[in-house]
Amino acid sequence: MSGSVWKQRFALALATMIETGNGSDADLMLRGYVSAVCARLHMPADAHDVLQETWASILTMARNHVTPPKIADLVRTIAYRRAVDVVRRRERFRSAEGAWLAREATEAVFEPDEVDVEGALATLLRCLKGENERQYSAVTLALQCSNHEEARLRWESVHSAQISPETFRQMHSRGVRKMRRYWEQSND
Amino acid sequence: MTEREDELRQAVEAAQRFDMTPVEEAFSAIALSPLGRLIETVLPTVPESEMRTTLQRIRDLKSGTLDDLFDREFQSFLISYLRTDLSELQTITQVLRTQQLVSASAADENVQLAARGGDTGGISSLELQSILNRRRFT
Repeated sequence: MSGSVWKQRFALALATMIETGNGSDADLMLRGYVSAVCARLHMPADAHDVLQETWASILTMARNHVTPPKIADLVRTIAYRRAVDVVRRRERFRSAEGAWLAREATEAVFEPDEVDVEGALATLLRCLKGENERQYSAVTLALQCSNHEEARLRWESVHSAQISPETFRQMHSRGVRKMRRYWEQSND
Repeated sequence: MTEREDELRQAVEAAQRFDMTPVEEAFSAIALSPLGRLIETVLPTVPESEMRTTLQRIRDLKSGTLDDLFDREFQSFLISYLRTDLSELQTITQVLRTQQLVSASAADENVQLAARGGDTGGISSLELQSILNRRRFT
């Protein structure tokens, strides 16, 4: 299907969705499109996040009453931008976590007798548990699992509740920030 | 299976975990667009006809403004989506444009006062007089 034909069909499917609330056609088309974009960018595992974010952007445009053909015209740009956002966010998250771990490791090397890293970590985790049990659970599970998705699934089974990847990421990053604050306060 | 096919398969599997229900609900909750609100004001005066059905469907699209009706791409989209023709769309555009002009004039109280002239006396007549005087001497 050529690009312009796809755009026309997507605009029609989107209009049906806005008019009737039935998004099955539009979703099927966008799902295939985002999958191809993610495969092209060699990030197939992120297709779910990119799809979610692309729908969020389309919804914002629809709320502002942008017409379906204009939205369809911009879908390519939106999907690529959201894919880049997902990569950037993950990289930022990784570098923040890496910097924190590197600082811990450096301090452990230079002051081996004074800093007990595991003990300090346990203290910080205890503080977090006292303040926010769910964030504590997100941080500890992320430490135990090999990736965030796995941690999120375990979090869902532990708490018997659904949580979106974005909410889980926010919960985890808030927990880590709080622990960093406890650490800085303890060093003051 | 090639590497590329494998990537596509993984992408589809990841995308399939997405739940569409909240998105559909959010789309259903979108309020009427400026164009839809304008159509609402016109509908009571339009008798049951094909044009009324078309107007209702444009309203239900919850997209666009009156200006968008002059956009070629939106026109062509509406023709294909509503299975209508350009002449009907142009008629609809004219009806809505007139309605907008009428409601814009109705909102302008000074115009109404000026139109009533002698009934209101006072301020609006004086205003008209001063405008006429200005025109006479410039």
